[in-house]
Amino acid sequence: MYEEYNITEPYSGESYPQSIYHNLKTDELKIVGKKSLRRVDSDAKVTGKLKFGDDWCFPNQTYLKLKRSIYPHAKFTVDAASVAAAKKIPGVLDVILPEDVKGINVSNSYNAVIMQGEVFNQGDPVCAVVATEEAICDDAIEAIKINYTQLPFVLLADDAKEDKDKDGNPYAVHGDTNLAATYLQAGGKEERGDTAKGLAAADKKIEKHYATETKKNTAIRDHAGIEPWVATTVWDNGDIVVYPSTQAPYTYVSTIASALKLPRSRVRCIMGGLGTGFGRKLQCYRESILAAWYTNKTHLPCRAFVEAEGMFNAGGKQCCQHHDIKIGVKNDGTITALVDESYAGVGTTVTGVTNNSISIFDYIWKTDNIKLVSKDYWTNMPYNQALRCVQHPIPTTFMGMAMDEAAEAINMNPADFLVKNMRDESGVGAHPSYPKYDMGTNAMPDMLKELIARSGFKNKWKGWKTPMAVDGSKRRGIGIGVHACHHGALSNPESANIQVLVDGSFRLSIGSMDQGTGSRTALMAMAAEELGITFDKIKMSQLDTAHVSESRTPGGSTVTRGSGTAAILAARDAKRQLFALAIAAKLIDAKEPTELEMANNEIYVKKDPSKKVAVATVCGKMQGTHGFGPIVGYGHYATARTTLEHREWNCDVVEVEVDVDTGELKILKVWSDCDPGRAIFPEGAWSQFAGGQLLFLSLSSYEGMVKDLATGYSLNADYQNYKIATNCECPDWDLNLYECPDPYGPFGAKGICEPQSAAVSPAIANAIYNAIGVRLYTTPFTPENILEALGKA
Amino acid sequence: MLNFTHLNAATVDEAASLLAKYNGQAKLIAGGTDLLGLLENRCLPEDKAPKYIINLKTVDGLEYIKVDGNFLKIGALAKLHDIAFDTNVLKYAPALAAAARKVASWQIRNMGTIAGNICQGTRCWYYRATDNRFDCSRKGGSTCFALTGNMREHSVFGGTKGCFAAHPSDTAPALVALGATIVTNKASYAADKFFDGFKDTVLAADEIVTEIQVPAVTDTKQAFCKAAVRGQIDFAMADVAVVLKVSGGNVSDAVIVTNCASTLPIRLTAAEDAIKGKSLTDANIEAAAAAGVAKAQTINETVTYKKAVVEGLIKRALAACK
Repeated sequence: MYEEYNITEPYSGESYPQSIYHNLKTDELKIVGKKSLRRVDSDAKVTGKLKFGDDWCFPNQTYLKLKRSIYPHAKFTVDAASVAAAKKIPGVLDVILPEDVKGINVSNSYNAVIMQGEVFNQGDPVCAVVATEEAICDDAIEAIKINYTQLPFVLLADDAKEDKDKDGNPYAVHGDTNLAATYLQAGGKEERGDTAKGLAAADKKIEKHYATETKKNTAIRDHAGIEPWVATTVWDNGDIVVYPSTQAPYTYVSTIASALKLPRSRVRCIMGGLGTGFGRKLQCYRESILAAWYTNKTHLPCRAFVEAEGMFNAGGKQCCQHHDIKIGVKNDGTITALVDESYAGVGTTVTGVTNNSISIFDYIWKTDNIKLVSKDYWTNMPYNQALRCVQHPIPTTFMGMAMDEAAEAINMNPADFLVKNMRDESGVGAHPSYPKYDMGTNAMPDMLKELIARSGFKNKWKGWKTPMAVDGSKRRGIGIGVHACHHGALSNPESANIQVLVDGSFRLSIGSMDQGTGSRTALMAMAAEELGITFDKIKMSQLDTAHVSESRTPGGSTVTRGSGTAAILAARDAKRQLFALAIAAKLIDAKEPTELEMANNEIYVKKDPSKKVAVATVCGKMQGTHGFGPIVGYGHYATARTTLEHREWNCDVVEVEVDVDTGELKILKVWSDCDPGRAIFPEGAWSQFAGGQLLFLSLSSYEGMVKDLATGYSLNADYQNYKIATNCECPDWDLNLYECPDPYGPFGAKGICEPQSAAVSPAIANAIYNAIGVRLYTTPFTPENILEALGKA
Repeated sequence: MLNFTHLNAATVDEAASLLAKYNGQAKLIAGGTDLLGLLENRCLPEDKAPKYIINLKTVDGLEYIKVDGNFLKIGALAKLHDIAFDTNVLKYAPALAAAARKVASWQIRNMGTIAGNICQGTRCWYYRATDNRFDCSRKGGSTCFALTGNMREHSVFGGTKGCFAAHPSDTAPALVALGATIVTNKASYAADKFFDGFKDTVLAADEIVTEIQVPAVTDTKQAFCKAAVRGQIDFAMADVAVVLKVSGGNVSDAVIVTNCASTLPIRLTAAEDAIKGKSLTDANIEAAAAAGVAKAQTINETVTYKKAVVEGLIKRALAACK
């Protein structure tokens, strides 16, 4: 029943595995895509039996915590007398000072495991404490005094780009200028076509500035994941074994090995459960390196724990963004030019904010003339990190708002405007900026039309500045938005192995973590489907980097495609060996493994399925004195990924209610379509979709970290004041997994969650406009911002 | 968490004597939903942080809700959740029931007490900053950092002794509007004399709330409205409680109280005067709401929106009394 696996070199000389059953209909499959599939670890989770990072505990365990800077920029020294006093507190084992770990950096010199005499961001570590209990760490941290000399700082990108500090005095965070990086897009050029001509040829032009940052609201965004960063390091006969909460176990291995100058073979990572990732746990954090350093020195187990406030202040953030958007349109809806010039404040250590933010515009909007340029500026803020996507959701929001305004300028129904302007190409050579690339499948044109019809948008939308309904001070509005990005694509390398056990069961080991997404279930389903066994015959072991070859960090919704392909390859390898064993043991009448196939826990002859033998019988030959060795199937998958540029698509219609007296926003109903390729584990895919929608709804409507502009201090570094959407903010969902199997995905699957959820944000913004007749130009869409737009604040 | 000594009190008198014994160094705890956060984050300077925590949960008999004579009487330790759904509260003080129901989350309402809700400290993010980062005027320092910083969460009805921190209680404005009496082990206070914009309440160091008394009348129309960013789980941007008497289609008496956009629950007498003698038409309601916030101040541009929120809530609350 299966197609042959075929590695082709389709277009570029690179190898992309294609056609792994993507053409099969779901009813031809036995496990994959079945709605009866249930999450394999749900029982363990709800009964508290699944071990998360904070659950590991070892004899003689020690605890490590950092003391952090309260200033955004300062020189400092650690007061020696207070350190001596702290060391006398019963239970304190060590105080780690900057000079003790000089030269150990996370990435660059501005990111030392403990800062060397100068901090650049509130939350930067100034020393660390190791004690026998976590509470004793807190006492010691409080006892240690730091002598600070405060230095100038800059928080806002608008100040940083002028190379000024918060008071307007000349200042650069690093070196002579805050300009950290400049980016071009549209195929690596600043401009494709001629945007000046395009704007000149337009009947109407939109020219607006959008920002996540204002003087009132610094509004960088956190992830606020509930599971904190934690890692326990253990000395194991010369090896350092790390038990972290991370998306990136192999990054832990490489970072710790590099920092401590150990061979990688001496560092190993073991994981059980992981409670949220979403980009927050992509790195090996300072605390973990310090714990490993301490364990390596003392041979004692050491747990490093980061409390919520430390995560808020010192962890990576979705940084602020500013976008100057120009759109030219013809009266028939044709976009004659699209220009986005953006800039961002990126914190102290990591660039790439604007590079990622502008790239998506060329994916989605159909125009002959496009210009995308952007600049990153250093600020004394937390560093840039890919939380809930790199930086795509915010520009998707802003461009969606601008396109709605463009549609209004020519008085065209916004749904019709989107249908006309979606890029509709697929396959190779279709995109003018990427002529050598394969764009994969493109579900958007049909999916968008389906969404518009299903939601009844065109009947409900009554016209510009015309709410759907008015009830006292409450206005109901409807809006539409679209999103596309390249996440969920193939990743590399990904590894898997499958142990074949003597009782006819199978154990799958994968190099990527299930972050709570259900990927474990999806990967087991794909492996079982390929093996031709029932789902009860496969188990998945906890992640151990000693057991699986190097795998890529699971981020960007890549696990299903990358690890899924590796799992299928491992299953094929195991199956091939099993067939050879069955033939050698004379358990089936065949000469070559290619004559055989597996289904229903049996090996059968393809040409005569009545000739068959139970898998368990064949596996039984691996024990005792039969002379047949154990079987392990290996799967490893990698691509250079330079000419495969597939897109993932999402479109949303949202209904909101806004109280024009108080600015309160209620998101009532969300209709959304996304293309998962094929939903391997439908229940998990749906929950990923809904979860993604909620996260992006939250991002644009509620969230923003507020810094005190005078002191640089975070005012809302806690779960009460940092307002992330809760279940109470869930609207009535009408979510549709619009399956359009992809030729490169395992069973046609694409990744899901991150790439298919951001359209909710522009749809909310446009629904607010429909409701109240006034446009917003900043996020989040809080009552404060809405009232300000209404001229009431 | 700060180190402290935890003492269980068996009676109100014992708790009061412990407060007196550790004069200024002790704090009461009941549900703990307010105090624990303050302690855990070490928000207070060392000399003002409590060294003793006196537990009132071990005091029996203060969780009642009953009608006694002309009063609805609520024990200090009655849980917010119980108040929200008590039939007598719903009958005589629906504004209080609504306010209690709109406090935070189900879990908080099951722990939090009525006395704790009215005695809780401000949520000002400068005052509550971890490790006493801002030595503000409320803690004995010389300045209110919100004045030059971000006042989004603060008062638009002026400061108290230079402090602009908002009072966070949802039930407090309802109690003021209802003409409630706050009974302590030492005295009784009209609810509108109980609160203090600088030190939360007028309670002396050894004084303990024991009971709330609300007139048990049914001839009023009541409403309580709260506006918050994420709905009720958040502390309010503003609250408004309204208690009206209506005769012959006109408002004969009105009490309109706001909180969370002010340093303590305040009566908006201009709004009350504007609606008295008038019917509850949209135009009259709008005029009263506008009058209610006419004196609101906008000290710092980050707080201006709260004036509109209060105005909107007055309208909503009056309209609910139609």
